[in-house]
Amino acid sequence: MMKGNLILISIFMLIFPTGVFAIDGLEIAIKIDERQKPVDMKSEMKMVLINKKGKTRTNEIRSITKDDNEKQIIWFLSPKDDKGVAFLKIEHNDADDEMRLWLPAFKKVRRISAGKTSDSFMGSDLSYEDLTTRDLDDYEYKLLGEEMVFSDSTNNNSVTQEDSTICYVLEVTPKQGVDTEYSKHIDWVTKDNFLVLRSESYDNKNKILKIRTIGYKKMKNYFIPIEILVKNVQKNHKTNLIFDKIEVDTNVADDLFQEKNLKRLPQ
Amino acid sequence: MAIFVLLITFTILQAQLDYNGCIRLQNMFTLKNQSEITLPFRIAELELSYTYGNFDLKTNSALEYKWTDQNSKYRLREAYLIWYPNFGEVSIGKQIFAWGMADGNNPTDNLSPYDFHYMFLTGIDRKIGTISAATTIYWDNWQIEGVIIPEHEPNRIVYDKDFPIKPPFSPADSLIQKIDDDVEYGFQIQTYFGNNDLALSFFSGHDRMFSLFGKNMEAQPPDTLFGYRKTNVIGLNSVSLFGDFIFRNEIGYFDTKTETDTESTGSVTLFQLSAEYFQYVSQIEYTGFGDFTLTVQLIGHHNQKIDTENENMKKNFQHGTGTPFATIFDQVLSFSLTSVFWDNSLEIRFNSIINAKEQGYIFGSVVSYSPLDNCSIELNISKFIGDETLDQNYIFNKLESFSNFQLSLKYSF
Repeated sequence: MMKGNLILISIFMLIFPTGVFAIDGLEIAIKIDERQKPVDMKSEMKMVLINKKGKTRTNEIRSITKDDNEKQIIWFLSPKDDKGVAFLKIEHNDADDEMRLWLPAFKKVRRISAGKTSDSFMGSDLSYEDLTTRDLDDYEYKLLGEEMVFSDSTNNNSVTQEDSTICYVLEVTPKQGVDTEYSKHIDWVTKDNFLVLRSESYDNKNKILKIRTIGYKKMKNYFIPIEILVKNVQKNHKTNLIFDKIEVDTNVADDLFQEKNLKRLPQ
Repeated sequence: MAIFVLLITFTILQAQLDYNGCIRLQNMFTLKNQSEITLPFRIAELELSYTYGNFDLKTNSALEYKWTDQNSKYRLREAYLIWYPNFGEVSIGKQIFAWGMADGNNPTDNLSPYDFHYMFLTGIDRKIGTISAATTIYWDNWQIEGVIIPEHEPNRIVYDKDFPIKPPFSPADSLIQKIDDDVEYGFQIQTYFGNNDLALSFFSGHDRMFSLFGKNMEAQPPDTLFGYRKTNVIGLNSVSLFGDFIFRNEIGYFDTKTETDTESTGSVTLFQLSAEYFQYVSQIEYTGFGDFTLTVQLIGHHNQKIDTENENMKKNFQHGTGTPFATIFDQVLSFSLTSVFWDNSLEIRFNSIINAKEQGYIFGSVVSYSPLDNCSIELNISKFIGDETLDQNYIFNKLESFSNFQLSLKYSF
């Protein structure tokens, strides 16, 4: 009897492999959403734009964020033409995001449009949508299976906390009426820490548009992204975001995210 | 004294120094026959910032150069101390102010005079710093700014033969009346609610351009005297966001009068004039796909009232304060299309100005390319088209000979 049951279970697992996973897509998304994140974060970022000929252009940025990127203030350090330009963003739940730009050459703070979420952030392959956290309720989630993700240190395509790790493969599809430039995402999520290591994003014609790979570092109790590589497959263009001098939970005051602080680089 | 020097030295060593600047080579030629236009340009610029705690000391210097006489002139454009208390900022020294929410043309921005040598540049590059004290208070959604300027500073006018927009003559200093009480001040209150920003401002000062003041009948022939009218400006600014569109509006109400109560004093016959006029800029901005931005502006003025017994003055009334384009032109439409390519290393901008009242056009194009970080090459072409059926004094006809191209190389550090 026992032997018969074991055979039946094995056959069942072969025919319905996903059906026996203890977790479904939505639960994985919830785990990702509930992952502990720092209240605030300071960092210096290097944003390297790489075109199809391999030519690079680098921006250096100092950034302070709070409340899961709902409040963000950044100062441009280089190139020299952009030095001193600063940007403030505050997300509102019941209104458009508030965005202001300090232009030292004009000595003015300029209110700018939150714009389309598909607009490029500073000419990079990241859009404003890519920089904001997805709202859990706006998407549907389907677990496609599991895969091994290998690190590729030569190209630095995937920086993982180990050389390879097993990941859930999660399909994320926006619900009807959600404002997004993407038809779906495929995310590779680590089984142990629910970190998104790799993400493929598809355009409205269901063709692959971007591939994003993320490297993390553990600081205090958090896994902090330290490198994000985005490849726009259709334009054959890459953006590499490298985070340095990261500090978390330093009690950044809410009043730092005000227009007056755009004019002066924090010491 | 030694202790003081030690203290200053210690402070300087503890302070954080930041700098940026550029070196620029440029030249300008007419489109008609490629003859050189002999205007000065800033061959080098340097901004320094010393930071110590809540204090910054900022300086902004430029070396002005002219190819024809190979003369250079050092200009300390700004040098001021800023203190950053919790409530906002307090600054004192020689500084440039920039008010107004529209782009490039700001009727409510009258605190700092213009340097007309740089009239076609943008931002504070075309402004002159003045000794002043200012404070800005930030409170919740509100921002209150106050400025006091103890001494009047006029616009720097170009009398160069190549420059088409200038007074017909340059009066000697002795013919320009000194201002008795030339303290100027202004304040601005700004707030935002939802997708809208709103600002109300007031400025009290004197015109930046001189105007007719009177005649000295003792001189033979009688000398024409000039002066700066007393002018108050009430300004209203707004910004409204609607999806991909941004609406920026600015209007200034100007109340100006010759600063005298008498019709004559001694041998001087005074020309009294009082006037009220408006200047306005209404702007729509759209950012589309592919990183392009389209900006359309309606710029103009309306003379509400001109009171004077001198018919000639009434007929030739000129605004002495305000934004240059609204001062010079009755009403114009301005279009600007900007786009960036190749990871922001190439920027192309097309702009045009169309006279709404009579035929007259300005077409311009700027191509700016950065082959390397911190280096850029810029080609700037401007074409002015007038109306041959109107007389030579029509402003667009005067500008035609100024149609030009300009090439510049810039290294930023």
